[in-house]
Amino acid sequence: MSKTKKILIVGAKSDIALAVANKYASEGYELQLAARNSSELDPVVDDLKIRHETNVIAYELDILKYERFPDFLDSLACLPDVVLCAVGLLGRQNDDQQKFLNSVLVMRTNYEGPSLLLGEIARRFEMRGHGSIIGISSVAGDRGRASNYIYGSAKSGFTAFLSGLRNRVYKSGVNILTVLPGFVATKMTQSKNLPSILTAQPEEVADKIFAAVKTKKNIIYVRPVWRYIMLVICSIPEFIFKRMSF
Amino acid sequence: MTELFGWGRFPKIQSRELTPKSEAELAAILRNSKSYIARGNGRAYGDSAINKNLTVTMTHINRFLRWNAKSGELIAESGVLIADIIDTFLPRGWFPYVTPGTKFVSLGGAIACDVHGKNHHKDGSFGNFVNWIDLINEDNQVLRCSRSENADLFRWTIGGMGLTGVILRCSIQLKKIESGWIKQRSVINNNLSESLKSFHENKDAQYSVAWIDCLATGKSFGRSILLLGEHAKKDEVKQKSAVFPKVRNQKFSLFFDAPGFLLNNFTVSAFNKLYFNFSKFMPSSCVDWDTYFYPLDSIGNWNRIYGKEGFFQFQCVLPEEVSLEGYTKLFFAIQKKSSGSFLAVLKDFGSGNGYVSFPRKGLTLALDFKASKINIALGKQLTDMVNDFGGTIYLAKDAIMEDVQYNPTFSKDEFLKYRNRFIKSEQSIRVKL
Repeated sequence: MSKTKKILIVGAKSDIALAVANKYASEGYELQLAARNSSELDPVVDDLKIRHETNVIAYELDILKYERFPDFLDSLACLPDVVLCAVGLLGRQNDDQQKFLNSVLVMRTNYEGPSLLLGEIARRFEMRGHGSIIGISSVAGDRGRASNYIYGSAKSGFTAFLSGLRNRVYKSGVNILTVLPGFVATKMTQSKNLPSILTAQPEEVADKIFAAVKTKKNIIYVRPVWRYIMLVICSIPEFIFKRMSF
Repeated sequence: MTELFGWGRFPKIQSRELTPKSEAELAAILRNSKSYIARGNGRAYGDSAINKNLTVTMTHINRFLRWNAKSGELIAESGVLIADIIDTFLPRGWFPYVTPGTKFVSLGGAIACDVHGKNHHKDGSFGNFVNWIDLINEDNQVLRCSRSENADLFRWTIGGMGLTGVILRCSIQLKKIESGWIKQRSVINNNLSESLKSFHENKDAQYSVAWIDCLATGKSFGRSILLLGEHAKKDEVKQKSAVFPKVRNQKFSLFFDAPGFLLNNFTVSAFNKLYFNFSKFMPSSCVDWDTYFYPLDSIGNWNRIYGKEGFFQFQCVLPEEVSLEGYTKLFFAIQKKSSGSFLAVLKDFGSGNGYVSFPRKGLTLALDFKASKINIALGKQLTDMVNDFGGTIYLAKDAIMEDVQYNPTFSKDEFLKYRNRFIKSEQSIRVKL
């Protein structure tokens, strides 16, 4: 088995995931990419191989099929050194709050799937004695708002899960990084008009993630200004907050 | 709606812009539109890649598809930038055969404008190193064209300003090089006829370009510095240097428009004088590829130096036999009316690709003008003069030409047979192309 370090990227078709793949490959990592439809990863795999002359393998993984997670992890050529979970489904709050099943999908995709997968990986990392886990959560999880609380609450759960997991595996040498990107210019946010000063590029997110893993950080806001924005939002008393609309 | 503009930041046009992330998304967008233009990285100076109704920005369709490490053939999507190519392949000893003065152009843009570099007199333009192109035609079908397959469409597409179809992907040939360094030397020419003559005398140089002082008068009229370059061999690279140096860091970036009064005839002519006298003492040297080919790329948004109004670039080519007379008249006109042109560049072309492509035998001059009323009028006057001398204007730079001033050397009727009727740019509408 080669000694080259490996990163597993789940939800590999997302823009943040791709930027992270490029960053880690340029730092000499081999890539394991997982997505629901692995054939759609083919062009991505070719591009990454040409750019970085590194090993890239595509795997199929549906984040909603929990029962298959152990088999999936067993099927990997080897347990990676780093795992990134970039799965996310923003949904459409206005529709989702009317449709029960839409809400279920958003909650399961953003909370249950990622948490269960990373939990199982953490268990294996713990046994091995090292590993880094990166979860992409969201500032939307810091406080529920009318405009996106279904997504936000799932991300909030995910953040709490990562926090607890970090606490549990700390002694075994496994590091957990929670990433709160704020706005990022990606497919997911394409239709929204985002203020450029608050909006990071995917490459910027990838650079920050790489540096944070290296220094074993716990929680990062990609643009530090978000820490203060959320501090303000979280400090508004509920009796005022419930009357606000944003 | 977004405000779109070219590298010259003039004109600025409210447009609908879409940025597809995949071929499927692109196809869906095109299927539902009857008037659009594809846009690369926005480095054409004027309105070549803007359509008010719909501008389709291709920068996210930017994957490498196949690489042949033996032959140097690269197949890639059209949103790939030359910078990506250098970043990936220079460390392996490959470089683009032809590169313009910025590495931030897309492959699609490079083909559509048939861009040229400092080696045009030897190697010709970008199109010479394109093996084939996949174009999206009017029926939204992908059509491959090359010198042997749909050959006419291929020739009209090289330099065809993106009007024959949306360039989706292409195969290009890279050049094997031994190092990322260029041996540079300079030749001082004290007047215009010396300047023209020195191109002839240095025809064997791999790279050549002259920086010319348009504002000098009297016996210094048309003085220039001819900069010549050759790829350095591996054993010519200084011992402590990397054989393939990395891209330079950005020195600084302009976050706002410089005040409009900064550049005028006085400041620019003072700069020119300093630069000229300083260069006399410049010894021949070995410089890295980034400094040599892309001196301005290390200053982010240098295009804001011309202030809020923006600027336009005037680039023409004159037939060789009228170079001296033609450029004498052009410089006189510039000295009489203009307010400061920072950068004027003279370059000799070898024979061109014909059809819509701009480069052709002769000498080309490029210079920037702040987009003031006086300068726009001057630009139009210069265009008329170029037409009188049998020359041509470079569409990738143009932002001001009127339809009556555009006298292409190709047959417009013939072009119509290969032109995609749905594709229009503000420029193609303006010059009735």
